[in-house]
Amino acid sequence: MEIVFAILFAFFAVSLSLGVFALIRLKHPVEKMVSLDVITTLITAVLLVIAALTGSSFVLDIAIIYAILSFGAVLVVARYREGGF
Amino acid sequence: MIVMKIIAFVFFFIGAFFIFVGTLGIVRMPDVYNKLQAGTKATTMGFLSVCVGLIFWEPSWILRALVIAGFVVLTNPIGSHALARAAKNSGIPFAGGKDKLQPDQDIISKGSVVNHGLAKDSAKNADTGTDPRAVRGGKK
Repeated sequence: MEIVFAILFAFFAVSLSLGVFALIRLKHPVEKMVSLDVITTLITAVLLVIAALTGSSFVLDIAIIYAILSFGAVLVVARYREGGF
Repeated sequence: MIVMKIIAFVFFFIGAFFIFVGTLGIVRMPDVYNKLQAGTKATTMGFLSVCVGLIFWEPSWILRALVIAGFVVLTNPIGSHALARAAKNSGIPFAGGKDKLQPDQDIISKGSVVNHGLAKDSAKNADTGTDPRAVRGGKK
């Protein structure tokens, strides 16, 4: 059971390293924000898998709060770059 | 019960694969709009698959998993739309390049035939076909 979770987390680690590579390499701030949006969705999925691994349900609450905060951050930065404020 | 765990693992791996495809699209796509297209849709699909796997893993968590899935499905396109508007208003250009599958666009826009490979093929088939653009290309 644990080795399947290890393979799954290896998948997520490859995805996360690709996202961080894109976040570092891209130049424009909006492009950086796009990669950050993908990274936050990835981390929320990783939190759900961690909740399945540990069997503790409060990690799901952390995932909900993380999704709300990341959505707010992306929206605020996007509106700022747009000139909405 | 072990069958439910195996189904949950299958959904987890489907979700991990789709999220991997999304991040690969972030790295490989040529344009910020294409990056948004790849990054938002594929990761939303992968996240939904992970939520379904979580429901199969522990069926008593169905309410919270549905809340998270609904929230992400509602808010991910909103964030994508805001980022696309910000990119357009920041003046990021579209990735250039010609659509190689449609050589007739040159004929329509300029009124003359630019010799691509495909335009030559359409001129070769001008005897049997009834396309007037292809006939004009054959005369040149």
